[in-house]
Amino acid sequence: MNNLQKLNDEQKYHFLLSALDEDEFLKFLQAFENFDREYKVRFDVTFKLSEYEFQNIPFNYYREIYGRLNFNELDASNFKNWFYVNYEAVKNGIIKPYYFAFTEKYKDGLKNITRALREYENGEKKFFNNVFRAVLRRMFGFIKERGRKGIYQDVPFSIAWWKYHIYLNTQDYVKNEKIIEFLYENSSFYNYLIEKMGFTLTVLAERKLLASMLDYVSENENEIKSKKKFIQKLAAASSVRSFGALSVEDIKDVIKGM
Amino acid sequence: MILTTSAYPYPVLEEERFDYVDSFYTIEQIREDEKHIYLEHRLIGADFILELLERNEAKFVTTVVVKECFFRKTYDEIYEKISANRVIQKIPLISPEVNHSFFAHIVYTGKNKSFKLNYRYLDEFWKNREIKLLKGSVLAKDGWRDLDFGVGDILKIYKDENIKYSFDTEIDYENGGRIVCKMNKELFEKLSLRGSKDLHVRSIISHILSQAFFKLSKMDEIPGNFSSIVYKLKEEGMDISSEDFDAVKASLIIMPHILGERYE
Repeated sequence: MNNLQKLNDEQKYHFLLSALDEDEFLKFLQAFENFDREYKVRFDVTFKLSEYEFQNIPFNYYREIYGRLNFNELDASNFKNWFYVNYEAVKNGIIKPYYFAFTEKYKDGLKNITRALREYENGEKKFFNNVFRAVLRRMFGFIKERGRKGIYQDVPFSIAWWKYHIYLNTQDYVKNEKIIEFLYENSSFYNYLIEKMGFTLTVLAERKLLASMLDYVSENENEIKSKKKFIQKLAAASSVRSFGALSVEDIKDVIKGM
Repeated sequence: MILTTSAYPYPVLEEERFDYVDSFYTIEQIREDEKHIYLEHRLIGADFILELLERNEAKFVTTVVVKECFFRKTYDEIYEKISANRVIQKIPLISPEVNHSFFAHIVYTGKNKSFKLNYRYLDEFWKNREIKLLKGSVLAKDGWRDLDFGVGDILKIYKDENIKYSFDTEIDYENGGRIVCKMNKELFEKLSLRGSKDLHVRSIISHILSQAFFKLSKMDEIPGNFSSIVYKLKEEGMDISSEDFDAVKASLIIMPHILGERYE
């Protein structure tokens, strides 16, 4: 992945060109990256994803993705593993390589690559570079540019894995299947939450607190005007009280009183 | 004035706080194996907290955080109760490969209620005052401590009781290479107490990196994990294999990248 992050413009052009064909794409990756001993990841599932589905993987696929990968939290925080997962996903026909090329604004990967190549040939590099970066972000988070956040927020299979993992952890404390659907439907909330709990407010990652909070939010979604402010209030309350030492019922009482 | 302690509407036992007199809350890592560490909590003095512990209205707990993977969990199980004011907790580790941070504290677990404070070990300020404790209030705390001090993927610092002074730095060739620093116990504990962060920590890390870069510059082949560092130094006009390579300057250039300040 280090090599992919250092491609020159001509190599980027050939990389994007290769994404139009599965075999060429896999060959390109093999030529540019060391498939060293860390490449132990095997990934195959019983479904194929459409481009639309890949952009926000439906929650009914989460369980199978999670089960097939057999990752722990550390494995799932390693960008190399997600690169290999995506390599396998292309190799096994679960996705097409051009799926990686979607951006926030332009969702059609095939059109994006075609336009990027054409503009590059005409000396225009802005869109070309945007599409190249998009591909690296979806494959392994483009950590050189995005930092670790990219792993959890940009890689569709990683997002599916983490949402299901968070959901599973909540089930140790609350029985609420709505949480998985809530995380699927509220991507901006998930992104905000994961950014805070992984970086500045680890208190939100406290297992019991997270379970109580997601249980409450998923049940009372319409009553909470701003979910971000809700999280901020909870984090402020956590700074003087040790929620992890309380029962889920006690934490829910505090949340209700906020 | 810079305050290094938080404000609470009730007395808290903590180093550098003066709510209690002649009182201490100490944590000692008494042993460890690959999967656990054993922490001994000990409360001395602080009769108000002791009374709550004896009445089961407070408990010793430890929060564990592994930032690399969003892990945070608070453990309240007691492995061995020596007395009301002295217990041992057995804390599971996720993996010996990652840095675990620990926050040991004593928490109020009784009902939300008011207390009239009339206790021997409280500072005069608190005597005869009425306070309200909420469930979950932190009564005593140790600072955040690290089991080992990992800085990025490339640098790992371990406590080593055989090191009498300062630290030794080596290059570990396994798994693509990384810097391994074995540190004197006292220095390690100062480093791992988060209160001593910033300038002191940066100064120590800068010294470790200087030593490591000096050793790397003498190697015939630089291990693969350092390739991005070598590349970054090249961008700054420094060649790690040249005779006039300045390891101190290199450490200052690379430190913000290793500390993750570019990203977080």
